[in-house]
Order: sequence, then structure tokens, then C-alpha cells
Amino acid sequence: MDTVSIDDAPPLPVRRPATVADVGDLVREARAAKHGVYPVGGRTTLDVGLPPTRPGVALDTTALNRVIDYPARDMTITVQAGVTIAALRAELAKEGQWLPVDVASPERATLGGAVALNQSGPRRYGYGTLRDYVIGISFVTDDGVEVKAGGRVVKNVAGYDLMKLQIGAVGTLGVVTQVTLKVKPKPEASAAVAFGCSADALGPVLDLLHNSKSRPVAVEVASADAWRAADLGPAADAPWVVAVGFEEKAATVAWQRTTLLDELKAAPVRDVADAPDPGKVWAALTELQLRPESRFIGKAGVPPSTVAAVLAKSPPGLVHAHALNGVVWSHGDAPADGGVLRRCPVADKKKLPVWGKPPAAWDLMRHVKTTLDPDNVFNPGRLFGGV
Amino acid sequence: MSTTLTKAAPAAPSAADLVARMRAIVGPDNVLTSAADMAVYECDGFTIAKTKPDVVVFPTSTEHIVDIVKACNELGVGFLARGAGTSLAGGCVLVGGGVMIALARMKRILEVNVRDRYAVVEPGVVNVWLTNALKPHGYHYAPDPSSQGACTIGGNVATNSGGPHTLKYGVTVNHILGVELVLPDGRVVTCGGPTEDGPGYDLTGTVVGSEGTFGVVSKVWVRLTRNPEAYRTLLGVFETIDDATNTISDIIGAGIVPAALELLDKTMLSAVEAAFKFGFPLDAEAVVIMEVDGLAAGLQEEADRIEAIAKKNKAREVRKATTEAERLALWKARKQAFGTIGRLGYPSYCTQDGVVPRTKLPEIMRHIQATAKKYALGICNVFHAGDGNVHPILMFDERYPDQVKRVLDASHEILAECINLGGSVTGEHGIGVEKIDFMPLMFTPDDLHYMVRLRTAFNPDNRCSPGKLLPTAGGCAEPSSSVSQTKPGRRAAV
Repeated sequence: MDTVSIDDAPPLPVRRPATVADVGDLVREARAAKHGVYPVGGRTTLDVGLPPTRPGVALDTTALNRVIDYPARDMTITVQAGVTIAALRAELAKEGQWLPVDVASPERATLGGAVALNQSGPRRYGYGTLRDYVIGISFVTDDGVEVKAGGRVVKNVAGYDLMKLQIGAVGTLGVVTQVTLKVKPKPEASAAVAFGCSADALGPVLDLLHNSKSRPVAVEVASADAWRAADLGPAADAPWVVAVGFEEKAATVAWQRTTLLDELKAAPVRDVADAPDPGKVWAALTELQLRPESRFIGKAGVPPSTVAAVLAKSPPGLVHAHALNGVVWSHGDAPADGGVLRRCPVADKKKLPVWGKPPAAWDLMRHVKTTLDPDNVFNPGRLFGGV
Repeated sequence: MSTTLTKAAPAAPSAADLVARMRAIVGPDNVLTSAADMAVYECDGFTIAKTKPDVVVFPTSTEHIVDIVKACNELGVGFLARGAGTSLAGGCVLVGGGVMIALARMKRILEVNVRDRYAVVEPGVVNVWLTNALKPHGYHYAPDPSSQGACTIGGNVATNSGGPHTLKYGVTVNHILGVELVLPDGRVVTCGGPTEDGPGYDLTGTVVGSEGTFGVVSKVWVRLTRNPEAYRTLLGVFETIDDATNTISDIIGAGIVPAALELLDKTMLSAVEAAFKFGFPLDAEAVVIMEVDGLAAGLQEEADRIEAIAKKNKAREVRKATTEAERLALWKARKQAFGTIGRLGYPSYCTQDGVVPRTKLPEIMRHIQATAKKYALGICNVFHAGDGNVHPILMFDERYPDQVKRVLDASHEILAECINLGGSVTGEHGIGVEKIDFMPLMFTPDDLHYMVRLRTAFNPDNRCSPGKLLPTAGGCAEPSSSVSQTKPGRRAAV
């Protein structure tokens, strides 16, 4: 029998419901037995969060993978949550459209999983995150019934925004079964410019990029180690690599590239070069989020103006950042200071603040959880711990 | 599973007690009590539903709000936060009376941080003030409701407001990073903030659009957006509404994401022209304002593509704003269109707010025209066509109950058709008290029950913004004391 192991908890039997009604039955059964329901999709991020605190079932959503409705001219799509990101991309590509959100391991990762962890990558600077694209959602609640919020139109303020509530909720508020997305036309052209930068120059260079006449969709900083680990070729002979991306109409991209190159002429950077395949750069940097060799992977949100200082203080090694969003990823054999530990050896999960310093609203979040899932059916223990 | 809703304390406090408590908190200058003053605060832009508050109080700090909320709880009275009262679905109607917390005097911009792309504002800051303050930096606050000269950021947060430029830039929630919230029990909690990706639930995103039912927002962190380098603003003139809506559909279908696509119909044009003398063609059935923005490089080609699409759809003419002054004059005419409706000779109007998938615009526009004929009503249209967000404006004289009834019935038919076409009954104005009847048409009892459960987590006694957004207890038997059952508006009409 297929099982899923999460941390050091006993292996969970996998159930793979074929219908939403089956999901409801599984939830009701688990609740009656005082068990937990652990939703899983592509199983790419099972190690995120704290260990399960109850026996139960791993609810595999991957059989719920149908496209429900794709009115391409309305620029929306409704799909079941178990669809893989790659399959979703392929469907949208047929109409020259896309969801401009980077997700690691797209061949395996599901949309539901991406929603649960609010996955994103380099392009978030230009396009935002899933909260800007999810316009409708359905999920199975602790009562075993499917409820929905939002709808299939791009503008809609009827009812509470349960889309926002589910995005990043780590599957603790139900099993997401269906998602409606607002999508975009694929940009006509893209470019990426990468260059090396010294530690001292990094702050001023990021300020320059913030003020650039161009309007990048991605501004990434990677340590030389991170750049190599992402298999993006030999890094420049400098501790930091900066990669800047443009996606737009061809004429607009060309102008931005030229403009940036001009702006960089007087800047303390070296080895400025075009990346031959810009999409590959963003995908490779996104994939670092799941790098198998890293014992610890940390993710911190800091003021963008402090990114260079934060990186300078981080231990040398494998770090990278969505620099103008202030999102810093660090990898190593020891935990980074601050932020969330997206990966942490299970023995250390008992000692370290896996979810970082609790935010000011932590008590209110816990109260929302206990109000909406009083018997703690969904992913018990993994977000709020202990319970 | 039923939800317990605690009733207000049995012995209602005397009005004098309530006023005395409020004066003690904010000082006598920050309290209004006269009947004339209460009349100002009895409704918002949806003038069909009215309830006078018992007292209006103007806090100037979060501490004031906390004390006001705690006093309301002690005395067992309802309360509601109000910005500028420009909303259009009765969101500012204090159902059951109580304390109106008017946030207009909390109007400071507390911080602008361009490098980290955020600002912190008090809820009473008027939308356009923020954009004006950001001008020297080359940034703006993107959501721009037509009422942006009056409406407040706090009110925008409550209703998740839109505006003409949401087509490209998104609605309010896409630009809100955090809120400080006074919970209905008086606790203060900060959700989100200027840094991204904090752990746990996105309570900020959940609070935005909750129509004041989760608490009183006392501070807001907003995202700043860089100004576009250039604009191209076109005005397509069409002989038929179908030609106009087909143009819109084709522009979107061609993979162009304009900054705005706004349609004005013939009746609307006559009012706007009378007021602004812009030079709109009075014999055209519709005009569409079509704007693209961004970097200058490549923008003209995009405008040319739009012009070609309009011409292919039989546009009689495509005019271009050649100067910034012309562009601003055009937008002034658009944004102040509502204010010109008086020129059409009706004392009152009701602005509807339906949404359809954008490809269904021809159908819904035909339905609106047929409905106007069926109910012998004047209806004009000015709306966010690129989003499929229609705003039929139903004109009437509220002194005649028969007219009010026809307006309500016609509104109902139009909104029901929006649902039928796969859309929604509100794109940006909210459910308020006006559209509660529609919630069971859009959502199942299970959906509504879950929303009531969520509200209970924030607002267990339902004393904060009572009678809004959700049908009473999501189908559970909670008798409604103050708003009539099937058509909230009828209360005022009869």
C-alpha cells in the first residue's frame, strides 16, 4: 500500500479520491475517528512545517486533475486543484496564455499545493503572487462538504474572500478541490541580463535597479555558489550575481535591455552578459527552493532596502534573493537567522522556530483555525504545532 | 451546526448615556447628535435604504476606536465604521442604530517609503490625497475609484474597491500589504505589514472586502506603484453598443492588456456633454475610452493595434488625446459622469454593479436595454467594460413608490441575468444591505454557513457592521430586526 512519510510520524496510508464526494467522505470518516487529513499533491514539499501530531490519512489530490472550464477569451480558467503546474501551463499555452507565477518542480507540483504554500519565484516582482490570480476557490471543509467563494469573473466582491484565506494556509483549513484563475497573455518577448557584483557594490546596484528607467519583472541576487548550484554556468569572478529580467512586447523588451546596459556602464559591475534562455534562469533559481542537498533552507521577508546588508551578514555559501521584494532564501548546514525554515531536519524541528518569529496576528490566526476546524482535522500540528 | 448570535444587551442604554460616554472618549467637538446631523449619516450613495445612527463619533486615534468599541460592547449597541459614505450598496447603513464611527478625522499619511514601495496611512485619508502626495516621487496608489476625490482608503479596504484602471493594475486587495484592525471586542491586532511572505494566514487579504464586519481598520499599509512613463488614450465612437462591446472583446482576445476600457452610452454622453462640453458625439450609441500605458517604447504600436481593432468593428471614428490636458479632461468627464446625471431630469438614481464574463457584454447590454423598455425606466450606462463590470444607472423619482418599485424590480432582473451569464452581482460596490437577497442565488447554504463561521471568528456577537453582506446567519433562523426581509430597500420606499 502506498504510504506517505512526513517527518518522523508513522507512515500515513494514502487515499486518492476520484471525486469531490469521495473527498467529503474521507474527511467525515477521519473526523469521526479523530484522525487527521493530510492533503498531498505532487509531494514536493512534504518536509515544510512541523511534524504531524495525529494519525490519519494522506489525501492525494492528483486524481482531481480535470480542466473544468477554460473560456480563453475571458482570460480565466477553472481547474481541479490536483492538476500539475506543468499540465496547467500546457493547457494555457494552447491559447498563448499563462499564469505568471513560478513554481518549483512543475512536472510534479500541483496547483493545490502551490496555493497551500503560496509558492512564487523571481517573477513575483513583476507579476505579484497567487493572491493576485486566484479569483475563485472550492474546498472541502471539516464538515465534509464542498464550499466555494469568489467566482469565475475577474472582478467580484460578493462574499468573503476565502481565496486569500486558503492561499498560504498550508492545507490547515480544508482540502482545496477547485481553483479559478485569472490568466494573462504570454509576453511576446523576454530578455535577461546577468552580471557580477562585489559585496560593497551590491547595495548601490540594487538601488540603481530600483530606480532604473526599465521596468524589470525579476531582479534576482544569487551568491556565486547559488548561481553554480542552479547550474546557470560559471559565475562571474565576483561574490554575487545579479540577474534582471524583462518580459513584454518585443520593442519594449529591446528598449529596456539597452537602457539597462547603458545604466550599468557607470556602475561597479562586471561581466555583463545576456542570458540566452531567460525562462531557464527563473526556473533554475526557483528550483533551488527544493535543492535536495541543503539540510536547512530558510526564507525571510525583509525590507527590500536592506537586502544587500542582510546578504552581507549571512554566512558565505548558498543564498539568493528576490531582491526588490525583500525575500531572501538561504541554504546550509545550520539554520539562518530569522524567517521561516522551509526545510529543517526533523530532530531540529523540536527546538527551532520552524515558522519563524510568530507574527503579531498569530493568536487571531489560531482562533480562525479553531473556529473553522475545531476538531483539528486538517494538517494537525503542521502549522500551529503541538495541538 | 448552528451559530450562536448573542443578542444586544436587553436593557438598551438611554441615548443620553451613549452620548455622554462618547463625549468622554473623544471630547464634545468630536460627537454629533442632532437630528439634522444624523440625517447626513443615515445612508450612503444607495439612498433607498436609510437608518439614522444614534450618535456619530469622530475618533482621532486607534485608542479612541478601542474605547468606543469597548463602550459599545458594554452598552450592547451596534457600531459601524464609515469613511466618506460614497459606497453604493448601503454598506454605511447602521442597521439597528447605534454608534457610527466616522473615520474622516483620521486622515494622516504616516509614512511614505518609496525604496520599499509602501506607505502607511490612517483610514480617513482620501484616496487621491495619497496619489497626490506620491507625485514628486513618480509613484501612485493604483486603485482609482471614480469617487477617488472623496472616498477614503479605509472605505476602499472595506469594500475592496475597484476603478477604471483595475483592468491592468488590480483592485484594492492587490495593493494592501497590511492592516491594523480593532477587533469587535476592542483588541488591536496588526495583520501583515511592509515585508512580504509572513507565515500563517493572509488575514489582510481576508479583511479587505469584508465590509467592516471583521472590525474597524485603524491603519493601512499600501503598496506603491510606479507611474507609467507614457499613455496612449483613444476614444472609439460607435454606431451600436454591439460594435463597442465586440471591440472590447477583440482587444482582450488579441492579448492586449489595456490600462482601461470604459464604455459610455448615448444617454450618459448627453449628460456628460451638457456638463463638461468635452465635444463628445451626441449621435453615437456608445463611446469607449481605450487607454494603454507603460513604457513609451512599443506603446504606439499597441495603440495602433487597438485602433485597427476598433475600426474593424465599424468604429465611426477613433479620436486620440494628443496632450496630457486632453487626456485628463477625458478622464475628468468619465470619473465625474455620475455627478452629471442630474442633467437628465431625474431627482434620484440607483447605480447597479453587475459583472459578467467579458465576452458576455453584448448579451448583458441587450438585456439592460430590454429591461429598461419593459419597466419604462430611463437607464444609462457608464462602466468598466474591460472587466465586464457593468454599471447601469436606473433613474427615478423617489417620491413615487411605483417608480421605486420598478427600479428595484428592474435591478433585480439585471443582476439575476448577470448571475445567469456566469457573473456576479457586485464587482466593486459590495453586498451591503442592498444585495443580501442575492447571496443565496450565488452561494449555497453551505457556502454561506461557512462565511458565517468565519465572521464568528472575528465578530462573534455580530455587533460590528450588523446586517451586512450575509443573509441572517446563513439560513439559520435569526430574526432580522431592522432590515426588511426580501427587499431591504423597500423599507424606505413604503
